[in-house]
Amino acid sequence: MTTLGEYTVIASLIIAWIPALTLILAVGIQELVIPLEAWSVFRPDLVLIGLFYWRLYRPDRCTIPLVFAIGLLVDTLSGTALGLNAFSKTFLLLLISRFGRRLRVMEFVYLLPLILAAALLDATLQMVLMSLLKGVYGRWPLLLGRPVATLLIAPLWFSLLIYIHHWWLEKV
Amino acid sequence: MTAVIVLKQQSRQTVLASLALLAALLLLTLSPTAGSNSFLGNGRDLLQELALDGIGPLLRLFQTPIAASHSVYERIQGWQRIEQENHKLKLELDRLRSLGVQAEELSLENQRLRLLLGMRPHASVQEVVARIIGNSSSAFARSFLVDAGQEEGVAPDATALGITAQSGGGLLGRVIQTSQHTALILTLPDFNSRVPVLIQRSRVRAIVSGRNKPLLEMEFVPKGSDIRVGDLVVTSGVGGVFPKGIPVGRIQAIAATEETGLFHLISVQPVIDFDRVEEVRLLLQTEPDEVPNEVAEDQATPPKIPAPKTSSQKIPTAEERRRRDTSGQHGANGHRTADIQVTQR
Repeated sequence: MTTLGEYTVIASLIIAWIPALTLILAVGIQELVIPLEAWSVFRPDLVLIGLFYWRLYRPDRCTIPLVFAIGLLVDTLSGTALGLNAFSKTFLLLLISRFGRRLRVMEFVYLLPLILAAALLDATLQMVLMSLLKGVYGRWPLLLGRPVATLLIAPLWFSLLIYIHHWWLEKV
Repeated sequence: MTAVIVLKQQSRQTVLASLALLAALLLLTLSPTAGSNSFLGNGRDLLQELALDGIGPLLRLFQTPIAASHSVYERIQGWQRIEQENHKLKLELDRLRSLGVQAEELSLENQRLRLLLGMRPHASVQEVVARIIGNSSSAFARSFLVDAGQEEGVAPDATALGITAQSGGGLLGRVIQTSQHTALILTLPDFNSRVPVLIQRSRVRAIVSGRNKPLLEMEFVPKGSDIRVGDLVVTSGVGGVFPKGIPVGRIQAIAATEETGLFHLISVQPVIDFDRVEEVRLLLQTEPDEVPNEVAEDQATPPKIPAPKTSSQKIPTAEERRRRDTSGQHGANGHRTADIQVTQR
């Protein structure tokens, strides 16, 4: 009985970190696992989908410091300017938090255009910041590739997160 | 009360978000380019290192099946590549086989033509190609009659080389009698034939004698000499009758018993197939003053050919030859004695 109780405590501690772990996993997959020779403009933003989901359905597990740290991790691993993804992802988190209550009641299919809009906003923010602060100008056609890839992969990644959410986070 | 808590939470989140955004902007403004040597640059490198170390095990878990699938894909690609390469190599092999056959044909043709027309072992030695017109092989003698004689410069003791497409050139025997337009050749298998030889590999000297059998016999090879089955036997040049280095045969069997005494009993398979030879090359002697100086200088060991015998000898009849062979008083017997004396010397 004692052993079961210990296991329960350990499991509850790990489970509390599941959203964070899925976000870290998303960073790892999108920045390291997907081969570099793949066309980078079509690399999906799995972190964006993850934080969208968790901020909607488990906002208590997807906090601002966590998203800020995840953004810094993306910047670090991708080699972009430090703070770029941290800023854009934190900003998006604020927006999702602002409209989260309305969005939670929507069907998943209706969320897909919002994910596309969030990805486009993320790309725009990053381009504006880079052009203003670093003097680096991007090209719109290339910036559109990532939101489209994110939209295409969103159903699959969303399904995986729903599965993790229901079978690991809620039932265990 | 609840509203106050929500408001407090919202304001707390707003503060947190503002701080995070400000921090991000600050980092963006101050962040150096990757690799630059500054405080923020070093901090970034350290952070990157820590992130990679931390995220590594988690990624490895997901990378393993991906790497395995990559490995399977590469293996399948490898099989396809091997199959293509195998097909290519088979085509190449077919091409090389046909080339090999062509090369063999050309080699044989070249060998035959060189022997017939142009091959000269030594510049000082002239040769005459003659056709075999008579074969006196019997239980007591093995000799050939050829259509070249004194008129063509053929003299007794002239070396006769056999020409066959299968074996190329090799020692056939020596001329023992000549007439105006014919010459009689004592072949190696003849019972009266003795040829001083050496084993090409080990340079062991010996005498090859005929036994009226297809195989020759090698004599005077002491037990313990370095000889092996398959060794090539060539003329040693000792005695001055045969030029040095002409192939005679290959050792086929070696026996060393108490009955053989101090020597081996060695069987030699002749290079020339005496049943199939049709043409012979007769090496003629050349007067010393006929040899150009530069050619004479180039020759390391020119064959010493005895002076031609000018006496006109008639070609013996079969009866005469049989009488001579059995008595051993004339012709071949005399040459055999000379060879043995030279060898012993």
